[in-house]
Amino acid sequence: MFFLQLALSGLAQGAIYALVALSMCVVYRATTVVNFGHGDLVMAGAFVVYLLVVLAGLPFPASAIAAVALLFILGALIEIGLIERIKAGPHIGFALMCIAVGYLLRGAARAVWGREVLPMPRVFDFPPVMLGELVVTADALVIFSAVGVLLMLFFGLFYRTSAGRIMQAVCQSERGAALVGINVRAFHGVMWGVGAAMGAIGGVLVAPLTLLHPGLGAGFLIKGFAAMTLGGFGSLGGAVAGGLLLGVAEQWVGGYVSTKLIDITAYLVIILVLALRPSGLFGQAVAERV
Amino acid sequence: MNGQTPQHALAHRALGTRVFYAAPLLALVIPLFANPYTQFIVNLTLVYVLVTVGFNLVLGNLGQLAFANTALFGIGAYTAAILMAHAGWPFWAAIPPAGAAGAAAGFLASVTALRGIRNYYLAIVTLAFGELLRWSYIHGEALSGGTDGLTVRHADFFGIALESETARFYVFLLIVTVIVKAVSNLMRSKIGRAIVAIRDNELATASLAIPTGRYIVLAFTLSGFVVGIAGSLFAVLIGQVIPESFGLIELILHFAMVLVGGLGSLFGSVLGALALTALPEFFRPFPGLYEMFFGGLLIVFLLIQPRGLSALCAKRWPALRDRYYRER
Amino acid sequence: MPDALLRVAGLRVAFGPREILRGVEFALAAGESVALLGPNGSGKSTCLNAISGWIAIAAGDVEVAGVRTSGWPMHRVVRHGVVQVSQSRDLFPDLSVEDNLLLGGHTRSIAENDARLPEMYALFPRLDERRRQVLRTLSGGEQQMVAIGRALMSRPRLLLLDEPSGGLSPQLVAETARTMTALRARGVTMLLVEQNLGLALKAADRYLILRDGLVADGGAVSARSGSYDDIVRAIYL
Repeated sequence: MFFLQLALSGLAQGAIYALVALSMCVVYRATTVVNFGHGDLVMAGAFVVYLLVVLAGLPFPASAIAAVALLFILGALIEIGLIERIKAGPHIGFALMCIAVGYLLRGAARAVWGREVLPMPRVFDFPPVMLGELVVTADALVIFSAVGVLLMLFFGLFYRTSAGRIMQAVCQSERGAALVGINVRAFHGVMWGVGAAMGAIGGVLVAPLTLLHPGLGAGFLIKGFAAMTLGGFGSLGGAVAGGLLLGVAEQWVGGYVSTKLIDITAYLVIILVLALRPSGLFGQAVAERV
Repeated sequence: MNGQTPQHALAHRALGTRVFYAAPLLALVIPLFANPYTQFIVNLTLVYVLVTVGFNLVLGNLGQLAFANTALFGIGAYTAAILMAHAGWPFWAAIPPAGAAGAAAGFLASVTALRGIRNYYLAIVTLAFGELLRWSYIHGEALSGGTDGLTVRHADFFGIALESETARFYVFLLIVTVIVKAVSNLMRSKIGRAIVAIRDNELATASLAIPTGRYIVLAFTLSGFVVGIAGSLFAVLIGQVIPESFGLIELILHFAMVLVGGLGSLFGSVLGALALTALPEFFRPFPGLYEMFFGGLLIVFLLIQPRGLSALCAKRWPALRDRYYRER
Repeated sequence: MPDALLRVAGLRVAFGPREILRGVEFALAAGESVALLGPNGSGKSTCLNAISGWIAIAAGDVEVAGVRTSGWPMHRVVRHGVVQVSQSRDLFPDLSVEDNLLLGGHTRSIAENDARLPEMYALFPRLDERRRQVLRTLSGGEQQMVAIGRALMSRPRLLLLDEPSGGLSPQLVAETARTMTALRARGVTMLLVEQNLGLALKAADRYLILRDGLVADGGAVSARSGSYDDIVRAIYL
């Protein structure tokens, strides 16, 4: 029972990781850039929602929507204004740019909030549901439903609509997409916006549950990356699977070995996967040998 | 080369060498003018010169996305602090182990790079490595003092007690000059050229029957050694070694120094450290300003001057151009 | 040439310090099919890529149907009716044949594409049997057909072809020649870059020879007789 209960909370955590990993993967597949500042975008989503709810007094649903919309715009602006501009420079430039933007966001958050760690008032305030002997908290319920719906929407869109077909096309051949008249630059901007928005949804879902602090982003970056690595870097489905598995693994490690290890489970996963099976669960061979 | 006649090139090289040797000699008079606080900043700058030189080896010269620098810095600092605080070792004896620990960590990172783990994987693995280390500093209370860290009180350099900032200055200056000169010699040798060649085109370099693996390991290990030593100096200078000092906040400072100074340029590393070391002090009273400033600084440089200040200087004064620096 | 569909004037393209095209000048009338010949490195593909908007033009003009398109990004040039079948085909390997074709009609409406698709299958019956097949499982020749079909889906004013015979067996080259003759018969305006002289001269009304980044020679195909020796000489000597 303990085992399953842990798994359940792990899945709820994991659903957030899945979302963060999927949004990172979307950006990576669409533009071949790994956004090292992605965690900070997630954090920004959480903070904007906090700002709107606590300081502006807006209701949670409206704040959530506004936060996601704002982050969409921010993501698109970062891509169009900064990432596109350095396409011709050294490769290391992309990584540094993403990191720099992440720090900028972190600093902005810290400037507005000072040094405190902030709690947000409870939003999902209804009693837990019982599944036999398992307790499903209100938070977990909301997360499962929200993430579940989002994943269905995303994969449905991606694989079944013409817009999704365009996305797949650009991912498979950028030149091919240009040859048929797709505006690849605009696509890049939109996909960064989509990635940022999805990450922000994760942040929004997590905001009522965690103590918010400007450094929240680093954790999400590592966990998103661990999830992608576990599931197979570059695989959309793999990112989701990896995220869920990571969440469960953390809870099991915490429950059976030591709670101190929860924080570093993600790092250990990364190192283990790269040492034993670099292609992850669903990915193709990844190592480039010279 | 570079549109110069051979005579010009030789003259420029001679001038560059003279500047290189003159700088530390001129620096010797600094303590005459500086108050203890300013001297402290100068000493801190020396530490960061080493930090940046080490980081640049891997980030700039080798061109690998290895983000382990704060980890290497921390290992060096903790090694020295543990030896001094727990085992009572004198400072001068604690320096080589600090360098060795850094080198070992750098070597580990290189093994990861060799296995074909490149680019973003290497970045995250090295980042994760650094965070893992920090976690162990926090939880290994017996040895590391946990979140309170270790205090380094008496720094003994071959009998001289390094209590004043001035005393520390001369010792640091000596160590830093020796190491920077050694790195400079290395980068101008066949080894240095091979390392830069790997950055520019690894496949092509390997096809020339150059053992790229060996040089990758060398670059990482050397980087770890240099930054590890910087860590030991840092421990003595600050007097306190805590996990907080070696996290992600510190990392952006290292990035900024390398980029602002000039990726791949030894001279740039010095410039970067000189330009930026003093700044964090100013931002201390304003939460968030530090991250915003350095983030913004990186962005501006990436957009406008990605080759750093050293490239700007090299344009104005070609004599200062690094001889191994390659335009890509 | 008055009322030229494509007009290229003083076209200069450079890669860093090297000038590839040094003032290329020619024109194409609507319905014409012109072959661009020349030795390796003369800038033939570069010329097509410059017209398509894939690479930046250093100086000069490209005019399509009276509109200056030089400096436009590729997707805008495509919308204006200039579509290229690239040398590396650049198809979408994990999508089906039908999806690849439909994407070719990206700039058109769903209704137009629904009407156009059967025409493509009529032109390439082999593809009709393989509509749902994933592209990467098709043979080289079949992928070639998809590439051409994809380009034709949007009813381009001007079709650019970069080495259509590339990597194909002689049998398939002959089939490609048949396809292109059929396109010519339908009045599709074409500019093709081709190493295979046989194919080039079967598919074209006119030829131009590019050497060292300039148009060095040209002529009408029909005015020729017999061997290609003089062309080969003009190209390589």
